[in-house]
Amino acid sequence: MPKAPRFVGPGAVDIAFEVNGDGVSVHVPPQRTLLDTLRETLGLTGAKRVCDEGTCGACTVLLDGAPVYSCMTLAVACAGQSVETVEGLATEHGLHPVQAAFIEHDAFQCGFCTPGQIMSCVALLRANGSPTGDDVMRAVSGNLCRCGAYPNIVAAALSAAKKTQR
Amino acid sequence: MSIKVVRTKSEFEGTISEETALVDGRDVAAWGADAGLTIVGKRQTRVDGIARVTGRARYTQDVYLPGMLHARVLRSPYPRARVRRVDASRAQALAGVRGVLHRSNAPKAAFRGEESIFRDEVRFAGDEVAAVAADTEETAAAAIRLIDVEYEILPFVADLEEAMRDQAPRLDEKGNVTESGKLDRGDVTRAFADASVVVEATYRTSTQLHNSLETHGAVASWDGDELTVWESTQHVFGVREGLKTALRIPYSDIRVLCDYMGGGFGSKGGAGKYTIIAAVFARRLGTPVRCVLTRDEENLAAGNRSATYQTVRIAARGKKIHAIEHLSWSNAGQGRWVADPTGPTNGLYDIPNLRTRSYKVVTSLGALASFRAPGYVEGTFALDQAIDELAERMGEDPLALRRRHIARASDPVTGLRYSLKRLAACYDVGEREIGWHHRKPDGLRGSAPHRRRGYGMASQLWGGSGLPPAYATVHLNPDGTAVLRCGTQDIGTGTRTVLAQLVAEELGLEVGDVRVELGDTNSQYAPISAGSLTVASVGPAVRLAAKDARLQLLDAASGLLEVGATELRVERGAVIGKGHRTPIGEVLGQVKDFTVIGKGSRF
Repeated sequence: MPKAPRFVGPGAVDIAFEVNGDGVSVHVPPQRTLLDTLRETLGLTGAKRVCDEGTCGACTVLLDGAPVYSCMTLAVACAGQSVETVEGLATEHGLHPVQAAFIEHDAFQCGFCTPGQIMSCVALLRANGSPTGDDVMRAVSGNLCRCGAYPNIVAAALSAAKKTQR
Repeated sequence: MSIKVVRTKSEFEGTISEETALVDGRDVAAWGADAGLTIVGKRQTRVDGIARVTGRARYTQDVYLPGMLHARVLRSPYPRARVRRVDASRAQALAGVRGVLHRSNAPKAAFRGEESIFRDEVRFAGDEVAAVAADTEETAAAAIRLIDVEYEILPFVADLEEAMRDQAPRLDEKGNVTESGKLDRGDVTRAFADASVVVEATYRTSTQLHNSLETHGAVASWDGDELTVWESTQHVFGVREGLKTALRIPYSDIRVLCDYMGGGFGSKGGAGKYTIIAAVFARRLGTPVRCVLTRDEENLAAGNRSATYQTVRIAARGKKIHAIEHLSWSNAGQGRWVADPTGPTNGLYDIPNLRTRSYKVVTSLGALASFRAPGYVEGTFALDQAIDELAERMGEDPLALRRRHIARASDPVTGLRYSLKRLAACYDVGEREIGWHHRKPDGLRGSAPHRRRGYGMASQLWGGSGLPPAYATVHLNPDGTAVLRCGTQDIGTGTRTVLAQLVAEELGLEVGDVRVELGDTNSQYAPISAGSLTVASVGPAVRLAAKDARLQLLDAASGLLEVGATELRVERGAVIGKGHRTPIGEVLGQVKDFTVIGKGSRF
C-alpha cells in the first residue's frame, strides 16, 4: 500500500488505506476527517461524532493499533495505514471479549459513547494483558460517558482481561 | 372490550392538569410476592446489548439516506435584536448550496405559539435567523457565514437577579417576573412569632446544560405527501404533534422514528426548529435533508436547567420544625413554562405552617427544558441546606430532625393517602450504609488545613405515576416467537429489555423469543419517556396485550389439542396440560399462517 504523500490537495484526492482488514480507496477533500470518511463515505457509523473537537472520545478508532480521535485525524493522513473500528471486532465466532464483557457488566446506558469506550479498552488490553482498575480508568479517561456508566466500564474491562488470559 | 371514560388530575413536570381519557375497561392486577415470577425481577442482560456494542445500533445521527442534503442554521450572535434585513445572495451563489430559508422566504409554520420559526426580533444569542441546505456539511457551514444580516441591537438582560430589578429591560408585556406557583398552609406569620429558633438563608443554583452525547437533530424525507422523520427524541408522538401543527398535515401522513437515541435527560420532548427546517427543506428541494445540531448549537439553543435564586426562612419550636417560608425565582430564559423549585418544600416533609411562592423570570436566554426532575433538584438543595442549618442551630442531629417530619399517612399537598411510604426505611438504610454514626458535626480535619471531610444527607421527592394513555400489541407468530409493538422509546434506561421481560413472563415465552419494536408512530401510542413514568405507563398496556395473546393462544390450543382451555397453561414456549408439553410452534403450526394478535392499553 502506498505511504502518505507529503502534500496533497487542495482539491479532493484518492487515498488508499485499510479498514477492518479490507483495503479501501476513497476520494476525499483534504479537510475531511477520518471520522466523517468512515461514517459518510464508508457507512461505518459505529464511531460517533459528539464534540467534533477531540474532547469526548466517542469517535475513538485504532490507527495502526493505537487509539486515536478520528474527529481530529484527517483522512488523507491515514493513507497506507490500518484502521480498526468497532464494527471490525466481532468475528464469525462471536463477540470480542471486551464487547461481551460490556453486555455482561451493563457498561452502558444510551450506548452512544460505547463504541469509543470499547476501542479504548481493546487497545489497553492488547498493550497490557493484566491491567489494574487504575489502568482502565486511565485508558478511558479520554472517553466521556454522560450517563455515568464508568464503574461498570472498569468492571467490564477487568473481566475481559481475565477471560482473555485464560 | 369495554371502553371507560376516565377523568384524572395529572401532574407532569410541575404542571397539574385535568385530563380525560378513554381506556380499556380490562385491568391487570399488580403481581404480588406470591406470583411465582420466573423472568420479571430476575437478572437479565439487555436484549439490545449486541446491537449497542457492535456499532450496529442505528441512532438518528447514523441515518444517511441516498441524495440526502445537510442543513445548517445561522444563529443570532446577539441576545436581543431586530432583524432588519437578511441577504442570502452570496450564500445562494456558493457551489453545492441547494437552498436557503429565512424569515422572508420561509413558509408560515406554527411553532410553540408563534407563527414562524424565524423571529423578526431575535430573543437570545443562538436564536434561529436562517438555514442553508447543501450537498455537504462543510458547504452548508461555509454558506451560513456568507449570509449578511443587518441587526438593530436592543437592550437585553440575561442574568436572573438583574432581570428581577425594576430598571431591567422589560422583555415581556406582563413584566419580567410572574408568579408561577403558590401554597399556604397554617399560619406562617404567627408561627414565626412563636418560634424558638429562626434561620434565614439565600441559595443560588446555576444554569446547567444537558449536553446529551447525541445532539438534537432530525432527518426528514418525503414520499409524495407522506413525511418520514428520524429524530433523536424521548417522544416520537410529540414530534409528530409538532410537525402536524407546523406543517398542517394530517397524522396519517407523518411517521416519526427513533430506534436508538443517545441521551436526552429531559430535553428531547418534542419537535425542534431543526425538525421543521429539515422537513421544509426536504419538501421544497425534493430530497431528504438532515439537520443535526453541532455541539456549540446544543449548548446555545437546546435547553437548560434554569438558574435559581431562593430564600428560605425556617423556624423551630421545641424539637420540631414549626414553619417554612420558601420563595424561589427561576431564570426561564425564553421558555413558555417554568419548573417549580418549591415542590419538595410543599410535599416532602410534614410541616404545619408553610408559605411558598415560585416566580418565573423571563430573560434574554434560550428556553429552559426539562432536566432530570426539573425544579426539584434546585429546590431540594435550598430546602435541605436550610434544614441542616436549622439542625445545627438547634444542636440537633440533621437525620433525627428529618425523621420527625416524615409525612406518613398522606400526601401533604393533595391529601391523598399513600399506598406505600418507605422514606423511613430509606433513612434506615442510608444511615447504616454510609456509617452516619461516624459523623462529627464539625467535620473531620484532613491533611491540609483548608480541607475537611464530612457526612451529608438529603431527601428527594418526585412523582412518577404514569401518563395515560398507552397502547401495545403483541403478535404471536405460528412458530412461537412474538413481536411487541409499542410507540415508547428506549432512551438508554432499558425499556426494550423490561418490556421483553413483561411479555415473556405474561405470555409464557423465553425473553429471547420476544422481539420488541419501539419508537415508531406507525405503532401504538405511548407517552413521553421522561419523568420516571415509562414503565408505569407502558408496562400495564404491554402486560394486557401479552395476556390477551395468551388467552387467545389457549383458546386456539384448546381446540387443536382437544383439551379444555382452563386445563391448559403456557410456560417457557410450550402449552402444558394433562401431563403433555407441546411447543407453541407445534400447536399453532397445525394451522397455516395463524397469528394471534393481543391488544392492551392502560389508563
